[in-house]
Amino acid sequence: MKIPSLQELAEWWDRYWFTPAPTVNLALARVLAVAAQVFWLFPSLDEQLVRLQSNPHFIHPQFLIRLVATVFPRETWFTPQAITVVWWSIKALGVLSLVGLFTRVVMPLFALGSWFLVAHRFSYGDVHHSEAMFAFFLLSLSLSPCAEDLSLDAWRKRRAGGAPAQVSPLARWPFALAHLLLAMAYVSTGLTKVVFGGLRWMNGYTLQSRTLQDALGRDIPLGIWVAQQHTLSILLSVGTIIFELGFVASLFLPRWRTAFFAAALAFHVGLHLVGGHGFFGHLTVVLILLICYDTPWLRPQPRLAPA
Amino acid sequence: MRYSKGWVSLWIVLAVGLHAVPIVLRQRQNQTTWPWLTWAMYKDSRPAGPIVGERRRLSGITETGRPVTIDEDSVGLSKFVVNRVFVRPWLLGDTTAAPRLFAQLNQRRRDPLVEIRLSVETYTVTDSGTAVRKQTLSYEPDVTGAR
Repeated sequence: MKIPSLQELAEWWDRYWFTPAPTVNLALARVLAVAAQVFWLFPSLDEQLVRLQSNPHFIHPQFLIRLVATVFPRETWFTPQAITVVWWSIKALGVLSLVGLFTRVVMPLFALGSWFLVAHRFSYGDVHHSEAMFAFFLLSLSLSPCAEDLSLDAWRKRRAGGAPAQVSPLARWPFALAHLLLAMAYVSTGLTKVVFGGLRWMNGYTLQSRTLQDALGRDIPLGIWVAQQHTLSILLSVGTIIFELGFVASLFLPRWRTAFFAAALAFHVGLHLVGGHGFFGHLTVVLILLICYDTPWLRPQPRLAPA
Repeated sequence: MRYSKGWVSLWIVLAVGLHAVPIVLRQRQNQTTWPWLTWAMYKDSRPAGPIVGERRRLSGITETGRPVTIDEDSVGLSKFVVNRVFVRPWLLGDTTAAPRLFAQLNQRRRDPLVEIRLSVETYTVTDSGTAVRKQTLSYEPDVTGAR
């Protein structure tokens, strides 16, 4: 087998991440992602304040919070007033990112601000996976030319006689990275089930047990019903393992990518309906990939600068 | 452009590569590297046999006699932490669990609680059907220890 040279590897890297793509896809992804974050997924201020005031110190501080608290100590800076001001500031940055004004500066601050709020929430004893994928995607978008279309920045540029880029080599990588991270997450969770749980993970009883506990705790009648269906639980267990281990194939089968994303969407909707697992950030990323990632229905339209 | 590609490449490598950190740190329950996490969710399996699940509810009576439902906001912790730190130990007979929960709940209340209750409905699913068993534990600091 021939070992690829460094130059060949660099060319492959360039082709994989930096193949030119339309910026309108990125712009639409920005609008969808930021709107989802500002109006739906944004960490609640009440929750931030309750956690802060009910606990005299962090329980298991996230590394990001430890970093911030090194410069701004908790006792002095993590006050209800400061958190309220920070929360509203991040929200305002979100609105600016949504309309695409001063996006290059504003959106990275918005993304990092959102990271801060989630990390603060997760510094009181528990941490969940549901926000992680979306956090990576939001920050990736903010580092891309996502305001070259559907934004006030693009409008201002056109008014000034400039022409926002309709195609860019930097317009595809946020989608490709989100896709890779999704595949890593699914294959990782699938592998650990097979390695630690073994084939017994698909015996039906395992899924029935998990589903019953989750559905009872969240009062989900559909989940309580599913937990009592043994054969259905076997089928769902096998389907889960096939999906989680098989999703990685979507990296190598670009023509089938949409079908894989649709399956992921159905998987998460199912998890929510049956077990109440609110992976809404994850779901948003999958939905955006389904709509925007190399999709044929988004093509750059020629646009003229105003006379 | 080459400059931008360089920074983007660095971010890609960090976003992907730092996923090794929580694996190396072997943090299972209390991961502190968010958003870089291990994705070993629901990995454990269980053998064939009756399926058992519990519905747990915390409630309380305030000093003015008002019954209240105890939720995440009342405790200031997520329900997972409440379950792990207070409820499960209480159910397992840890006599310090209820007083600790009581103290956590009353630290910011204007109308303090005088009693907390933990009601548990245990559902057991077998081939012959589903059975439900109910039990309630209560704790009143001035009267008795946790029951």
